[in-house]
Amino acid sequence: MYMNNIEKYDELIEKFLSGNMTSEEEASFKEELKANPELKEHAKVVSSLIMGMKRKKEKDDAEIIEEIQEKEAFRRVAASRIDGGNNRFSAKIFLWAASIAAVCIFMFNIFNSTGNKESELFGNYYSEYSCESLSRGDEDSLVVAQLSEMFNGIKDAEDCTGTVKSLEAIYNNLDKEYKYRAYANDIAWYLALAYIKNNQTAEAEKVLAKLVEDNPDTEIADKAQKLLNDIKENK
Amino acid sequence: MDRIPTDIKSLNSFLAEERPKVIAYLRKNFSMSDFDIDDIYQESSIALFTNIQEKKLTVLTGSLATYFLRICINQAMTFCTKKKRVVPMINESNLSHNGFSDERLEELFSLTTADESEEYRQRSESIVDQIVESLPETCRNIFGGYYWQCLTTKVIADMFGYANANTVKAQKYKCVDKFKKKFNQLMANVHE
Repeated sequence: MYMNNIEKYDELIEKFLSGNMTSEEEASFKEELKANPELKEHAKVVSSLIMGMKRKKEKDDAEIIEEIQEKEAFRRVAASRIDGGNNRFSAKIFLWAASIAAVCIFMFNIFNSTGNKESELFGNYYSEYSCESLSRGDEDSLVVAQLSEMFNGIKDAEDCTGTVKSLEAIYNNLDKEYKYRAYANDIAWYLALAYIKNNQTAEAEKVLAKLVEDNPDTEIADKAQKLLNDIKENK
Repeated sequence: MDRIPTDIKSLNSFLAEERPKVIAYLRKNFSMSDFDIDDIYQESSIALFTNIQEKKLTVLTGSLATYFLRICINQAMTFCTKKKRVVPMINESNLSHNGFSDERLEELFSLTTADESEEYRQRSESIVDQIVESLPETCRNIFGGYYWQCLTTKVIADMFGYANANTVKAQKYKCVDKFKKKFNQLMANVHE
């Protein structure tokens, strides 16, 4: 009886914590928390435990990243000092080349039309979505056709708000909408591009960062990281 | 680069801890020899190090361990594709669950401790940290895998050699129960 209750409580608690309750379910859960001391205690323990795990693990992860980056910075400084004598000639060439490059960039910026930085970024990264070989069946054909229309419509749309909303709805429900899951990366990529075209670069950055994190060492991650770097440079 | 620098203690500790779990997972889900799995693990370790060093990991919204697991999985999939072996259907939904947002956790904690004083909350946080530091290995593995890495119980079963996802669930309940008893015992000691 106890274990059955705990299982039931765990399901409710995890559904609440992952934001998967409807507003009615949430209201009912909060009422039950007040009325059921066993549920309340279990919820307190589980939430404390998860927060405690996060505190410890976040600290551990941050220490690893910090140690790697500190040691890398140290190695670079040490390498440049050891190599200083041999690199004087190379340094002169580098400085000369850097000065020329700086002048060229300055002149380019003066004579270039101002244009919209976001449009330029969009133009550099957008390409039409090709779906000819992707279909795996009737239902899949419909999904592919739907996505193609949305992705390829971004290019010529003056205002992408509608497309952004449609893609957001799919992107935020990928865990529930099985039929779109095979195209999750494409959806994320084109959503990021639609955000950029709509001057919502902060939103684009979030989507791109998740794309990088979810697909380490893949072509899409490299592409997303490159775009992220360009967005930051444009700021 | 063919190896991780030995002076980065925290990373080397992390990799030593992750090794048995990741290798168990790869063995269970990919048709590869132990030799190839070992190679994949080595290359993934270097990729992780390089990604952090080159600041490719700009925003880590989840855990480093899950990020690393994904590198290993991607490398294994690439290897199987190149060798024309069966590539398992591993995607985000069968690897991890939705996770638990910080806002929701704070909200739930507040709802369940609304009648308690600020001193109680601070003391309970300190006691939780103490218990988490000294968890038995089984509970540390399951809590770490489920609550921190947000892995599914199936993945945890593969990593730690449990019979199936239900066995992991049952073990999780036992560990939560142990945690609860320890927490209540330590909180009672404070009030004595």
